[in-house]
Amino acid sequence: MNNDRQPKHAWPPWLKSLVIGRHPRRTLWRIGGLVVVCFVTFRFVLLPVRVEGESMWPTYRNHRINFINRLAYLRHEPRRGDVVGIRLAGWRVMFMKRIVGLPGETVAFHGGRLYINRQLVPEPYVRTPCNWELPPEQLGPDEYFVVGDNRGMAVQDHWLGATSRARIMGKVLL
Amino acid sequence: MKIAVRLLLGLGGLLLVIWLWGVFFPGPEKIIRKRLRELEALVSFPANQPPLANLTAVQQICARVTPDVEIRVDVRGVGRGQLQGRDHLREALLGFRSTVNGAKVELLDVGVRLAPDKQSAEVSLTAKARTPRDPDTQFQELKIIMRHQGGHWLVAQVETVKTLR
Repeated sequence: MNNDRQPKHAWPPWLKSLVIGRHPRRTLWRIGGLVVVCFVTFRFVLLPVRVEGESMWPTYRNHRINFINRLAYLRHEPRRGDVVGIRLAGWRVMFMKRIVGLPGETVAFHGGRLYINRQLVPEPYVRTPCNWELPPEQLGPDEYFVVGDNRGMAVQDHWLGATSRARIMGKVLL
Repeated sequence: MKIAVRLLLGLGGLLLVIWLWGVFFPGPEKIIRKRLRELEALVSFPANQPPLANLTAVQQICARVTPDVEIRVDVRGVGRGQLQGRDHLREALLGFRSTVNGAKVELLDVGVRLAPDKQSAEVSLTAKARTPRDPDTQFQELKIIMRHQGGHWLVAQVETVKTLR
């Protein structure tokens, strides 16, 4: 009698167990939880980004996927050498740059070399020689000087300069 | 159980009414966003577009700006420039379209801030542009002032924003 009541196209038990688990209600809760965790993580904590352009070469190559960690600067302020995401009008488009100058410092480039407060600062991440010449620039109390690692590019083709702390969205994770 | 179902149905009905109200009586912010989507489509153009289609698109763009529109550009590697008035804008757009064979423009991260009198609004956005002659995608932050004139929201001022000083 029981067999007659079963629907004709019922799933085999092993398939049902594989797809929705033994307890469908629990599976549903788990899926819901996972969706919420993913949404919160990738919307507010780790912002997924795709690198476009060669300005951070060779550290970050074109079309690579990465994440911006928005919690990185909760306990301390950005540091020299950090690679950060800088927002434009919103968070969908960001510049990925390296911080070389901190608030209050004077930043200059002579013969392609970085000078902070007239002191030469080594940059081991730079692999391409260049001859950039940028006059000394005094940063404000809330400003950071950012620049890409690819110095093989002409300076006029490169986005670099001072940015406010509010524009720094977080630190690049990988 | 019946109460819960009725509550859910009531909530659904209320949401439907709110949605329909938004569709039939859109607020200024929604109209501005729609206007910008129209502009985004008009500014983009495919390669080898016929001159007549170019002219039509440019006329449609000019119809969406105020007669005294002001455009101030200061882009690294490109330089500074300023345009004032519809006629200058028309000339510049036609000149651009004759030298560049196709462009794809997207307006991202649109933020609208209405003035208290709701007769003007400040829009901040990031323009993403790609042209066949340039392998890299270009990004530029923009500030746009829009004014409510003659029952329409028109672009009154466009200014590039320096993300990095």
